Amino acid sequence: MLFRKLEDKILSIYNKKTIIFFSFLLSGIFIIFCRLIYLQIINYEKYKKISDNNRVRVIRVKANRGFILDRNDNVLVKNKPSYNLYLVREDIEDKDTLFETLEKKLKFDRELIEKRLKKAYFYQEVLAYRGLTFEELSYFSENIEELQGIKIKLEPVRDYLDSTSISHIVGYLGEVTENDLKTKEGYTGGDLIGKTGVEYFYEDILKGSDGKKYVEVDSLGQVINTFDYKKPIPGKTIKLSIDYRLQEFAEKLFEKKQGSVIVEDIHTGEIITMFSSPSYNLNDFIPYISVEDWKKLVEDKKKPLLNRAIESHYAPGSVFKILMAYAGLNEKVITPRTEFFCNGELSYRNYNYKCWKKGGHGNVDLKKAIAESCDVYFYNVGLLLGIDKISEYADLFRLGQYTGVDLPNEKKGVFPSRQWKKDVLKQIWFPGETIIASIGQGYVSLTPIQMVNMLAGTFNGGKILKPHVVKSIIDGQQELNLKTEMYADISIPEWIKKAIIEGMKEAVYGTHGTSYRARVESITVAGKTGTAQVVSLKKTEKYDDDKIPEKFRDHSWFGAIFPAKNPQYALISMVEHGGSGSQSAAALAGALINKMVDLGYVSN
Amino acid sequence: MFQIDKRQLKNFDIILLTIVVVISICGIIAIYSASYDMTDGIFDPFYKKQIVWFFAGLVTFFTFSAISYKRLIEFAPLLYLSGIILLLLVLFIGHVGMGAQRWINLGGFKLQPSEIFKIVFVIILAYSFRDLNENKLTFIDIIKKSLIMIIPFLLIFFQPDLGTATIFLATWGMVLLYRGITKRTFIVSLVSFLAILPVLWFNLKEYQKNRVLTFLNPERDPFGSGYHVIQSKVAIGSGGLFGKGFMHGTQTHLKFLPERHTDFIFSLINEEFGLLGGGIILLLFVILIYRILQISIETKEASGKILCVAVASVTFFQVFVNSAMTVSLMPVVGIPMPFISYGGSSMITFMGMMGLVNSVSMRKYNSPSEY
Repeated sequence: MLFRKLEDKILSIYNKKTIIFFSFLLSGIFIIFCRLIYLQIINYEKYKKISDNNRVRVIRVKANRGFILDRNDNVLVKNKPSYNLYLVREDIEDKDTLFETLEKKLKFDRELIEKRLKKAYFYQEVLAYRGLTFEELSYFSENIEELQGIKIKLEPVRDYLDSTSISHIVGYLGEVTENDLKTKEGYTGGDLIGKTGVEYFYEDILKGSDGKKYVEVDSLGQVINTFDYKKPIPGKTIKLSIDYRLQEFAEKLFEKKQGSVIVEDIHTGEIITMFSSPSYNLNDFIPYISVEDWKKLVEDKKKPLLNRAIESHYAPGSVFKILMAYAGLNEKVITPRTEFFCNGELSYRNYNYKCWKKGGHGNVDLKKAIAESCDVYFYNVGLLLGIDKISEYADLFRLGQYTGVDLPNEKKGVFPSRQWKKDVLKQIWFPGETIIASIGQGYVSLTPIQMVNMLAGTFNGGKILKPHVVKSIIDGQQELNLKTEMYADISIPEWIKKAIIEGMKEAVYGTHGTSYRARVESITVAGKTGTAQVVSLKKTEKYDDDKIPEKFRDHSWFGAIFPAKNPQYALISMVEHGGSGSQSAAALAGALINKMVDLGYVSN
Repeated sequence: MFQIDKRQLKNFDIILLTIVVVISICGIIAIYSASYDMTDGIFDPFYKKQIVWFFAGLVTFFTFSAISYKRLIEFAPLLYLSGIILLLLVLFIGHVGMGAQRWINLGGFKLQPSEIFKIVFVIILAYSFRDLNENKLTFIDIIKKSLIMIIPFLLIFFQPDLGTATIFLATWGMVLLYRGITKRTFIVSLVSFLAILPVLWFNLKEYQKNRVLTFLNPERDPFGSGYHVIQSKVAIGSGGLFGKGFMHGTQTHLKFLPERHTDFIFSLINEEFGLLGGGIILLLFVILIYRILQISIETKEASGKILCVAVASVTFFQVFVNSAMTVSLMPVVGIPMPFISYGGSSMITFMGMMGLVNSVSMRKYNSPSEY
């Protein structure tokens, strides 16, 4: 039998043993307890002292931040050494005198530093000032004995090849905020962190991880012995898809104009150029941005901190007609040979919708409609498609949605739909609004990056890509190319592409073309202008760019695809208050494309 | 298998469960503190995971309570075989850490079969030594009864998991003494054990030898392995009577202590909560062991008695070895403190063993043939 009840006699033997067993265990625990008393009561003073004067400290060794290169390996951003002043709370003898001396020499926020000191862990080095000049450095080094508690460390800060043309892409660094400290790991007060641009978006890759030194110090806090060193791991280098030469050129082109230009490789989604004007100076942020400089930047009406290529949205105007043409052809509501008659306006339900050309275009087919940007033609296409189809197509190209470009603060813009109007404006959709939307006006408001990505998607055969400014990440000897993500492949047939591009070519080279300013000698460019109305003028008023103040002038757009024969690049230029698209935006695009020809990007 | 009637529920040992829960909560609090790394400002999610383990442990506890321990003893040979297979698996597909192969990766969770095997081990002990009578065991009896223990012991020893192997050996010794052995056997065993020691020594890995040597003389390597022993002592000693306060331990938070959420969690408790905190933890374990042994006395069925004694031994030795190591009364060996040290395998194992004890308690008035 497996189990049995024990007799009482045996039970009593074993129960007695259990009691002995328990007393044995109890004595074991008791030994530990006695040992605790010995350590914590009898030797308390001794260990307390060791613990208080812990001669062993942990020192952080800052990791070098990763470099940023352009697509041709030009080093755009590297590091230079900076002398930084640190304080160690436990080593400070007389806080007030120390701060007084420091304040005489340096300008810093005492309140903030005191707060940081208070929050520091034991013997932590707390950053008080970054970027000591040689004069300051020698002063503090000479008087280090009297200024107990200070420490000077050599640490890397950013060094820029060009501090203005790449500002929006690279972005600036700033000190971590309270919130960063709470939500992000591996930072302490005073650390620098990417605030905008690639520096922000790729913070984790650029940052690297700080090392640690376990050291023994003397009574002055000076290191006398290092017994464990965990080396910092430097951040990885980031290679942008941006060409610095084009960036520099774009900056010159914009001069005093406001706006942005983007060039995207339509097959890879790489952004070759992205410049937003006006720009700001990255060097203003090194070692600190002064309160006055910051105020100036933020309060500047021209908003230099804004990356207009991704953070501003405008009515795309006639550049949008490219998508309308594709939608119309694909839905078979028109063919390239379909003609509409334009007498200068379209009457629809008691309203007249005007074409930009007063006398009208006469009989218009697709090619002519694109080349001369006939509004009436696209009003008709819009009515045939209906708003639901139009929004569906806009959705396919992610208009009104984030393109997902690898930069922060991208805006979504708006592409309206029946549902959108119901949700946002609590109104039903009026058919007239479909007509307005057909030429990229009305509620439609899109970012330049959405537009350029739409062009890229249309002419690469329907691959809707995620645009990106980073080409690869370099880790030591290894280079890891970023894979281009694709949202969808809607496969656009060759004949549709051809039909649209014929119109766009005609726009640039035709006798009545709207985009003649974008002509380039050595290659064929296909383009489309656009104008976004800033103020609506009364019907009777005559619009004359030169006679109205700049801030009321329309925004000018230009979208281009080149070379026309075998499309490689899509370009969007956008000049705020630049008048109609045929003027500044097209000319600017032409010059940039010319530069790209010179640099060997494209040839016929 | 899950027969529970009202009579059994009445004997459900709520006190046992309460102590276990209280100890576990103390552990979670300590791990929370240990999770914070001041130098990096990083909060490791250890404590959150430990909470998950705690609940997984409770489920294990109730499962083992519901299953009659007699069933498990009936199936002891089968459990034994599956345990051995698990241990063999470690050798082949296990993960190497600290020069030893201890883990099997189960979709993110590192299972430590030598931990889980403790449950099998106590059941085997109860199975082999359940013939309680007045006769004392002779040397031959012991060898006969202990033969099956040798394979798992060697498997664990050569992982190598010296600490766990020691726990097994000590528990086995305790059960032997409980069962009763002749004086002659006792002396012979002691002598032969001492004779084996040198053999064991040469089979130790370099880091294990270092630990023993460093224990004997911490100053031998003040900034290497001896450093941590000294730091642990400083941490505990500087805690004083009431400690430095929750999350205010300086030694522990500056990362001077290695493995502060696992093996050295007791140092952290003593630094932050002082003698009072350390004493409370020890007291809780004394009460826990007392409770287990009380159940052992109350049950009149032999295998249940041995089971309780074995569980009490494992618990005691782990608490003892772990705390003795932190106060530098013993060399540093990787033994976690039950319910307190961070770790899923350990938590589940000990909850399972307590479930076994509770299972004995629930069925203490059953007749032998009742399950």
